[in-house]
Amino acid sequence: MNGKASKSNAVLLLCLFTFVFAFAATLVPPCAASSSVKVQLCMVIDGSGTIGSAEWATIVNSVSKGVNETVPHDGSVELTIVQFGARARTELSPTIIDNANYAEVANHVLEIPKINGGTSMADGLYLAWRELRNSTNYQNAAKHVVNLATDGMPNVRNENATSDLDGDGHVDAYDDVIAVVNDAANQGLNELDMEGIGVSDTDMKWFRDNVVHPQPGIYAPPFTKAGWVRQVADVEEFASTIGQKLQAVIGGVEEVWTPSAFGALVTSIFTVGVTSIISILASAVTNPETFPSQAVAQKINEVFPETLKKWLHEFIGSKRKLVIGSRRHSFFTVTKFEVVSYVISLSVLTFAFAYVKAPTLNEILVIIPTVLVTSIVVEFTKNYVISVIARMEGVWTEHRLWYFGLIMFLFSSFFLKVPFSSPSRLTHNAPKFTKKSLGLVSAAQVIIALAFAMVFYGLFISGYTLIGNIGIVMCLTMAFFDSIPIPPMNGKDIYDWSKFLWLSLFISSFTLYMLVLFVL
Amino acid sequence: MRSNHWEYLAFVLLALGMALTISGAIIYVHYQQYPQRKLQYSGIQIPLILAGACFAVLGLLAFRRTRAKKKAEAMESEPLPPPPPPPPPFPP
Repeated sequence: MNGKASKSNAVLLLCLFTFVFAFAATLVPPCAASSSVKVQLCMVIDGSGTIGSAEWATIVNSVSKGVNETVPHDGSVELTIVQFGARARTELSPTIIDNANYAEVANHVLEIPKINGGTSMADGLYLAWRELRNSTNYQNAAKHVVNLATDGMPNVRNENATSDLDGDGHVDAYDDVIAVVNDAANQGLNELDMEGIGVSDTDMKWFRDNVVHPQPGIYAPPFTKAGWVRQVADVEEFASTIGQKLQAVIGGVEEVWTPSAFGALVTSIFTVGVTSIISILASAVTNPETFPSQAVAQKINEVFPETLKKWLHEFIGSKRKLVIGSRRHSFFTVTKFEVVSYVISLSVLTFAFAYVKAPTLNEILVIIPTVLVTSIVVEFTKNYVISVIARMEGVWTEHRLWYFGLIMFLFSSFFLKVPFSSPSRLTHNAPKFTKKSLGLVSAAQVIIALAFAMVFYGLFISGYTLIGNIGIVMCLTMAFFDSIPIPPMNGKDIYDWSKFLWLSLFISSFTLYMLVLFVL
Repeated sequence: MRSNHWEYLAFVLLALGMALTISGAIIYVHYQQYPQRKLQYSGIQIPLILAGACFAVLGLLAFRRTRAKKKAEAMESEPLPPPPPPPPPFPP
């Protein structure tokens, strides 16, 4: 085919490309109204014979006080109360606590009679999960939490366990409790915490390692993650700390944050579009003989002033350009320039992610330490490891700010609330770098970001929600950005070295980024 | 556009198409299991799969074009047959 036909085909392809993208964008449905219930909380309280009448009165008084003073009255919490003793019984059916009913609920709690008898803990937990699961608010609730308060160990079986789940040599009521929790967790229970009233250290350890969810369980306070056990000396201490406990369960609920899909679409189109245009112009200036249209390349060269042409030269060659000399330092040296570059890029990453995640200044200040730790793990560790490896391979590599990326990053974060692009990059001592080694280093940046995303996902599902959440979004944004195949981004270096490696890395990182937007 | 440009376009379209199709399929399965999660995006999976399929098909078409272009370029760069030998000089 002749040149005209090729051009028209390319234009046709581009039109189709734009049309399909626009089509997909317009089909994103508008935001639906969500239920006001954010937490479904079921308190499972021990009313067995070992709890005296006076102690019971203290317990119900403190729970009633908690309903009055700590549980929000804005309809965001659905409360259920289950008591277990010789059997299990629902004392308060799932009720959304609001201004109209909280006093009535608090009074109702005061009137709960004690069951007495054995400790049918498995029955109590089973009933608690059934109440949450069958509640009319279940589908819309963001988080399902069971809070267990007991003064002893289970001693009434419900025959749920068919094997020795805690490895103590026999199948008993303990295993029934574990079986019930495992079933509930499989069906959607997000969190189970436990408070032991005068429970021994050994028994608390058993609850921590076998019952609370998600595992691994921790001793609280501090309430650093979901799935905690807390030991209190007696019911008085239980009563005096119930507000703190409820605050930890309800207030500690972390909303999972992901960038808005629409914002991400606009940001990625904008970033890719701007970078593509500059890259195309730079290609016409620096390499006119390989430009698709010689006439256009010639015209661009004629029209553009020398200053602009110089900037375009620098833009396209910024990664290979010898901005650093060949050094003779140790492989592990961090140069002065690198220190400055790391400090600025870590600060930018931290403030940008804190800004887009938290709506108010107070919340930004609260989450900054966590975001900083995440940024250090992701940005510093990844780049430092790759620098050291490249230096060992004989190519002096340093971390430097990338001004174009920095501007794009700040723009996308502060105007569109979707951090995209990268404020820094690794620059290499060009003469020793081959296409293969450049491709390898670029691919390593994507692979390490994906590996870190898996680690943060592990933290996320283990209950370290904030650090896991930010880490996943940060890593997958970097992996996706680093695999975009437009010069001078890393994706093009991978593509130039191995097309099929680039294909697999791009598909993996883009798919995972999409899943974060729509599923996390 | 030369064959390497078409090849680049083909890889990009194919990668984009496959990524959109795979993510659309996973999101589809996810929303089947948890229909009430992220309600605002509950209808996105089909458009994603359709867009992905379109991109992938465009990518495959671009690959065909790449092959054709490569053939044409190979023919263009084939050396010309040697010129015929000069006629023998006329005998005096």
